[in-house]
Amino acid sequence: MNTSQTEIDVTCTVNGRSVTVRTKGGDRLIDMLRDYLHLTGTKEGCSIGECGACTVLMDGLPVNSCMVLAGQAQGKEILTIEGLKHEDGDLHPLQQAFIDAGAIQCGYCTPAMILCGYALLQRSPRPSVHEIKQAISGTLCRCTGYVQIIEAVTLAADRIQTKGEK
Amino acid sequence: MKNIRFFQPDTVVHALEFLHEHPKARIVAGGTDLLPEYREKEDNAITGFIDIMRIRELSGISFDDHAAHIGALATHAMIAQNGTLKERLPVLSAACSHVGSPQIRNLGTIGGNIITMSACADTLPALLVLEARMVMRSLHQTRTITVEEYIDEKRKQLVPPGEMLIKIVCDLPDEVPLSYFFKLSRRAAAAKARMTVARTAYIESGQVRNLRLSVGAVTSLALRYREAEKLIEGKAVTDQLCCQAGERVVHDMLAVTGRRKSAAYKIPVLTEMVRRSLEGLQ
Amino acid sequence: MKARQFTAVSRSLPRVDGHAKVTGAMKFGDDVNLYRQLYAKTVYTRIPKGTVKSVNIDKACKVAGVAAVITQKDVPGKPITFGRFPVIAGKEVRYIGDALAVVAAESSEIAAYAASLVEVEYEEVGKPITDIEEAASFQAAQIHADAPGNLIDHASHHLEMGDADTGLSHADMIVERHYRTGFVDNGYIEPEAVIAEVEINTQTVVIRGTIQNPYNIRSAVAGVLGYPLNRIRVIQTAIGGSFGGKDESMIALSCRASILALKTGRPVKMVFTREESFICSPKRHPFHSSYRAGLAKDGKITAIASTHYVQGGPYNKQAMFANWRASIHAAGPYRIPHVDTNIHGVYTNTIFGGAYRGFSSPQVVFAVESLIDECSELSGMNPREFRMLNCLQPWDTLPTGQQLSPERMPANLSQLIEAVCRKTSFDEKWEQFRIMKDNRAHTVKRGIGLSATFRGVGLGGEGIDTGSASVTIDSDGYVQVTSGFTEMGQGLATSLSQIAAEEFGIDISRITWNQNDTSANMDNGPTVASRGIVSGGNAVVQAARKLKKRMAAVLCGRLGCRIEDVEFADSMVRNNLDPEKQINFSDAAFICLQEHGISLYALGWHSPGPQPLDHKTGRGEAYPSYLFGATVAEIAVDTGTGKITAERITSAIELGRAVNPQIVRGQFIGGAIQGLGFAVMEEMDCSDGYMHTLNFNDFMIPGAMDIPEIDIMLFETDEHLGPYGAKGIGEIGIEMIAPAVANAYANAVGKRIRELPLNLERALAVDEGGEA
Ligand SMILES: Cc1cc2nc3c(=O)[nH]c(=O)nc-3n(C[C@H](O)[C@H](O)[C@H](O)COP(=O)(O)OP(=O)(O)OC[C@H]3O[C@@H](n4cnc5c(N)ncnc54)[C@H](O)[C@@H]3O)c2cc1C
Ligand code: FES
Ligand code: FES
Repeated sequence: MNTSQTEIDVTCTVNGRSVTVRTKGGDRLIDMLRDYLHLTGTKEGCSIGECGACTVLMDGLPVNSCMVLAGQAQGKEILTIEGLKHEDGDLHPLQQAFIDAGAIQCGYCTPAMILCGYALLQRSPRPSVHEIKQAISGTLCRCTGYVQIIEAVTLAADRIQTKGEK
Repeated sequence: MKNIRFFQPDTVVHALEFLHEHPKARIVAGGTDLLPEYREKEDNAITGFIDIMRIRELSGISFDDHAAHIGALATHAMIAQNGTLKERLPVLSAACSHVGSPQIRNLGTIGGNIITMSACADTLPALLVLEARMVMRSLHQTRTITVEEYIDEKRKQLVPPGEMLIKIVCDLPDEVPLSYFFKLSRRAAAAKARMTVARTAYIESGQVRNLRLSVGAVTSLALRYREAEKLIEGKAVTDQLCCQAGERVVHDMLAVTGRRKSAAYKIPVLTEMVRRSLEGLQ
Repeated sequence: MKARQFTAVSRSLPRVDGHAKVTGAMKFGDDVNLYRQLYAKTVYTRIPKGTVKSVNIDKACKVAGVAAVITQKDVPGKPITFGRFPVIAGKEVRYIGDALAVVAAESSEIAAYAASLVEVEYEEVGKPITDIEEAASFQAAQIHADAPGNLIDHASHHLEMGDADTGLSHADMIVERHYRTGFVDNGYIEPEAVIAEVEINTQTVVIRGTIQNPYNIRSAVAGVLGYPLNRIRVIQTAIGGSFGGKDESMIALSCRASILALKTGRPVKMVFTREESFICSPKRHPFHSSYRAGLAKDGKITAIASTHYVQGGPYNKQAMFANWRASIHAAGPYRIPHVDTNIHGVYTNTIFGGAYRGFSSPQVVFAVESLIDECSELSGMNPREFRMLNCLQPWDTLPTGQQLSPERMPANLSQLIEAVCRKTSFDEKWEQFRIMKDNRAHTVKRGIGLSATFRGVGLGGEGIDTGSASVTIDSDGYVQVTSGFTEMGQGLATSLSQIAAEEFGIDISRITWNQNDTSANMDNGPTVASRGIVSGGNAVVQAARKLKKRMAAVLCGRLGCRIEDVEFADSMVRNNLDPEKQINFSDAAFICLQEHGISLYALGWHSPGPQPLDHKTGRGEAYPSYLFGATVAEIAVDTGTGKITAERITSAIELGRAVNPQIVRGQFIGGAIQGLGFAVMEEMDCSDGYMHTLNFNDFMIPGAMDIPEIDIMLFETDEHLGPYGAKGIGEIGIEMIAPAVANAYANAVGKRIRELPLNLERALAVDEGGEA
């Protein structure tokens, strides 16, 4: 994109599918996801990068989607909570573990927490409690006090490793 | 109503040209300083964004025999996870690993951290003790200045417009200095610094050599504390010397800030933090 | 009686809303969009106190895409919601969150832009009153012409038992101490959102949003529009946390959006930014508490006299209730012959106080449990011994004259205190740390602190406690449950579904929980005071039992037994005496409904009636029952920086029965970590009337790296009050942490901090011998 525009067509991969979205120059990635693609699982809590509720994975890394301009997603691979379930509708082991471990209360931080856990398990399949805490340290949860979230990530890691769940 | 332009150049020259034509447009790298600022800005203060994330020249971390070349776009996560940097420039690696949250570290770049130059920017104390250099380019020239000089330009409001940071260069001495980095904040993680101390030094036959000491977040811009360094240089560290150095740092800090209300906290804590940064050299 | 075997309750069944929440499908307030909706933004005052000379909306109206701009003139009914809150302020502004106009437009950007063009002329009249002492002083200007002394309406309470002066005069020592707490936000991660539309066919205003207390919203909107209640319909979306907070702010938003929806004939959506949420939502009330305690030589407390001033902000609708609760709990869970408690609320030109988990207990328990620790020090006893000597026992009398019969105190408090102390080796550590504190070699000191509490269950004398639930069995044997209570994360939907499943003997997967809709459910008051499980649960039980009775009457013939012998279990309806004779639950439902025309809908309505309490004298039964708890906090204090790190929290609580142990644990831990935030980091600055704590960068709440190890011991008892003995667990977790941490700090460094939070500066200043 070598010319500047006030409206930009962003082509990127969202949850495995290639999409092209016409956005405005000042739009953020979170706006593109929620307002244009209706992927409302990504939440906005603070708009300044502090709460982490808007976390999505961009090229596999957790980022705050309120801190990224939509145009910057050009050519990137974005994963939101909606993309985590399997094609057949089965939950990802992390999603199931969040339910089983009681890691959800209001659920507002849940998509971000699960995505942070997902990114962690990609690079560290058997994370320590300390690693898990670090991985979710950029996502605030006011309800759970984090303990059951940490237990859920451990449980998921365990199920993936020992039972080969996917 | 805002009509924001968005530009995604793939060369530095394109970016600089665009910046020249649109002086109210802003360069955006990770966006983690700029987007919160943009959100608060009155209408029309920012008219466009120049996304530099695809400019090859600005990315990557490379090494030659004597120095590390860290592209302006290197994110805090990349720096913190880079094995060579961890080994050779541990003070910088530690600083980057303390920036914000994991998500912020995946976005935020070292270039953005330096250019914004906030009071509590975590990399600055580290870059000061490393005597890091910045390669800056404008449409007409390229210049190299030290981070310390740049901080000085910033303080005096002499930073020329229309410049881009290309990379950071840090010397890699044959022997890695003893390094210390500590960030004090109100929360265990993902919190801005209340105070940061960075220190490097060597010990030769029991004596301290080449001590460098810098403190962030207590003055509006991070500073080196050369008088305190001199106090200890060439000596064997004692408890008493550590305390004296702490007092000297506080003295020099107060000379810059004056005595504000927050001094009641800062004075004892800064003294203590400097002391702690030095006690390991005994 | 044989021990009860449960099939659905007393089990950690997965949350009924879990699937929607882990897939991102759950629709929260901001996720709801309606066809042709407008977006509205509020114009706020720029000064915290002054007279408004003019509000000029001309420029804003001319912006392309603006559909309507309203000011106070456009409020069709009452200009006040309740508790003096103006929907939109008129001539006078009293705090920085007062609204002066509201703009509705085609997009939120246009609305925000137009809002910035509204021109207001002000005249500042005197400095804002921002401090409790200042507001309560004789010279203070009045914030409301009809509120002399700036006293909040109905928020002064006095409670007396025995004669405190006599009690104090008999003491060998009098301990006088002052404690303070500040404003703290609920800190839910989801900001408020609402969308209002006019349903044309019925001319009903329909409001959807992140609403904790739908009936409050309904009456406020009805008043403001001048409508009867039945033409306001409030439907809850999923709520991203509330803890008491999504009430006043939601009332304001709902009223404004409704006026605009009526004016434009289009749906109007309003979503708060975090900054708006921090300014406009209620905070935990700041308390200034002054205590005098009389101590006898033998360590017994002879009297406690206390006076509390509570900061309310410019408008307030909760201090009257919160202060009453505080008055009951102010002397702590101790047997004290003479008690005198006075409490007042004052208006200030600051952000305002309201409901936040624990209501007034976190503040009062911090004060009284710090005081008790100080008394134990002065008595030369360790904090455990001192509490054991003085704590309430069965048959003791509370300051209202209420006797703690054993069913109101099913677990002895002393038992809980012993349990946490044994578990943590409290005595040994406390002694060891006390000696270590003087060891100069260590800059990081360790400390251990104890706190104990009791907590009145439900609303008690605050108001009439009612609960509703309706249960419908469809012809296929699947069940719908709904209630006037709200699911906002606490797990009520799951717990109430479990109770329904238990009653019918069916699997919980057959139950669907419907979030509240005020046009479908009875007004059962707000979802507060941890009362959802007791009042809502009892209502579900009642509705289910009505239905079972009707079904049994129809089916007993086929089953060949008496009505009393019809049993509901294992998804069957069967003859208890001859279990071979059975009908599966689905067929049973079909038969009752389609063949016999029996209604399989029932309303359960739980009301214990008014509390036997005389509000004039304060005598009688304050609450129908009490929860008890004890907590030990173990911390490390870096005396060089003032940094406090919580290392372990150990709690013992008596809770009746855990309907879902996993949810109970989550409620407890969540509350405890909020309590930890209150203890060491959460604070808000509105000290000059302007708001300086606007987002999560300045309002720090604990993150995952801050959490200590947490060990909870749940004492289940057979309570009489709630379903299967359940009592509310939502709040007790929060209130014991701050005093336990403050007491641990005193143990670690030998000095006391009497003001929260124990932030870096306070924790250090004390060590320097500064503030005491
Ligand atoms: C929630 C949160 C937490 C944070 N915590 C910390 C923390 O703990 N410690 C800390 O130090 N910082 C922190 N920050 C600040 C920020 O993340 C860092 O300063 C980061 O390094 C900025 O980099 P960026 O790439 O995101 O900068 P951007 O926002 O993209 O840019 C920042 C500024 O630099 C300019 N700029 C960027 N790159 C160049 C270039 N190559 N040449 C010329 N100009 C350029 C931009 O025009 C802009 O003015 C935090 C931010 C957030 C939102
Ligand atoms: S909304 Fe993006 S971090 Fe809070
Ligand atoms: S579950 Fe409510 S914020 Fe985490």
